[in-house]
Amino acid sequence: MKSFFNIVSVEIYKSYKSKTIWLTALAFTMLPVMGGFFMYVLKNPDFAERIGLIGAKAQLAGSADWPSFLGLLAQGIAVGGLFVYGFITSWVFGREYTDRTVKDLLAMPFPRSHIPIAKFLTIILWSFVLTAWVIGAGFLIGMTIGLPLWSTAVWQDGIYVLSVTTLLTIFVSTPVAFFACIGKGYLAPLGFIVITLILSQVIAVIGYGSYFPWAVPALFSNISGTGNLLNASSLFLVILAGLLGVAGTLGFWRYADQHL
Amino acid sequence: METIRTENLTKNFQGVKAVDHVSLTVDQGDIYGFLGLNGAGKTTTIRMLLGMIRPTSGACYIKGRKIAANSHHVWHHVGYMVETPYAYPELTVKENLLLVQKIRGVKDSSTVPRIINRLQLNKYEHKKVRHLSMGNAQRLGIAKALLHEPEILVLDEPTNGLDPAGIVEIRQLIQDLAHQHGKTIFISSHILGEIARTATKIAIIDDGRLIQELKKEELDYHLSVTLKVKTRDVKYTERILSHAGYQVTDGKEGYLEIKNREAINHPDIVNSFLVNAGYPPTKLFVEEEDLEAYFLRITGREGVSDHEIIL
Repeated sequence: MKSFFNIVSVEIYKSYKSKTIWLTALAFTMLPVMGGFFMYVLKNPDFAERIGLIGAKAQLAGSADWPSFLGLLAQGIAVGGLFVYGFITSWVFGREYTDRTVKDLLAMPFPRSHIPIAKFLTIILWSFVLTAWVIGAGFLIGMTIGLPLWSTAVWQDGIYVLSVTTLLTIFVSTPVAFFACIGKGYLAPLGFIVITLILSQVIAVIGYGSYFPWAVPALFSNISGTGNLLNASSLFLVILAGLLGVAGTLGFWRYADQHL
Repeated sequence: METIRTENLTKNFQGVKAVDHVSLTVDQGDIYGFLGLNGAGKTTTIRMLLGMIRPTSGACYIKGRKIAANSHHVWHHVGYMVETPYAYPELTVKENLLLVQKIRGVKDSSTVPRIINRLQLNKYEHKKVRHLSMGNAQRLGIAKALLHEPEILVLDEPTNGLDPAGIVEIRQLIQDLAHQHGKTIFISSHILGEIARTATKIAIIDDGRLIQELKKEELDYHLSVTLKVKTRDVKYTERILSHAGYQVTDGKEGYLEIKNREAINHPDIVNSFLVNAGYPPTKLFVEEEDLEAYFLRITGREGVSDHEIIL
């Protein structure tokens, strides 16, 4: 078990020392900043009038209060997370092929599956740290703006939705790892992310989003009041997609010929 | 004692046999030189040895254990470097080695400084890997392979990118590891002279087939030795030498080649004979075949220009 934690700590160290972690943090910082800006615009109609178009768009976020702000952050995590968490997954797995370091991980004195499992744990940790960062920055920005309707219940509910949205997005991002392995780099997984992003929008619009795992996190985050569209099969499909991604990745590491 | 063994190891890639029924044996303490042209099947064999790819048929054994993707227990004993070494570019040399130490579960904290010293990487230990020269990247690759003090080392082209001084250092290191520490070393190299100097056993692979496996002493017996002679009339000289019972052939660059053991052992007799016949040699010397010439001869590429062969 100690050896497994060593592997996890090595994976965390590699991620911590990379620039990618700061890039993703920067990308996710945009969520509370932009959300806060919309809230500020909504809260100050004079300012909204002066900037015209943006003021009109800011109306979409609803009222300027804590529930709306937290809802906006959850929606941002659901849609942006699909890209950012997918990007993290793609980097954590794909970099071993791009940097050609994967061969140094194959003949090691522990089961080969330990490496991808450690990578998945690192991705989960990384993703939740980013969500925590969004929550923390959102809290500071919301307090600075002076949003109304603050209560512990509102915050508990907000954190619950943000956490579950993160978890759902992480689940549907696991197939990205499989594509990084079979594609031996970043191109295939990033292609997969783009395709699923597009398809999730299209399928959600035609009304079948609850049956398309990659649309479920956005629906759960209650984009346009869609939370009630979800059912047990939605959760089942998300879990199935997640498990298939993990199983495919572990299977690839365990059984596929490694030519790099 | 047998350390590495392959039995009829075969690998097909889309119907093409990359490795074809290769059976080899490496004993403890051997420095096993694995020679072959590019694409001969060296790296594929090494990858199968390390469980990175599965054989189409046949098997590999390390310390008597059959190798498969899940045979992780055996890798405690093995250090390896396959083809060009790579490391995490954003990390320093020391950080890369510390990661290997941690992932391999090496507890001794003096391991990394020691290996840095041994591979003379002191000057670069805080340098990011992306800024290393190819030679130093090669040293780092070898350092990673040696870090856990393995009994068996599998090195694919370990002297690639090293300058002559670096090659000598690595040669000495390999010899030291085998002779002083009893390690078994499986080494593939395109520098045949290097293999000839270090290996205790040599295998030659060509078109996926192992065409020769022999001990260094046996190699010396297989290398051909020729007495080479040049005179002012090569045609006439050839005639009189043949008449005298010597096996003479026309060699390159106007030389005659005599293969008789007696002539090779006593070139003075041949010299006297030619002087007495009125055709004294303008040049006469014994030439021993080196590993490169031997390699080309037994792979059937004798006479092919150096430019046509990339070893």
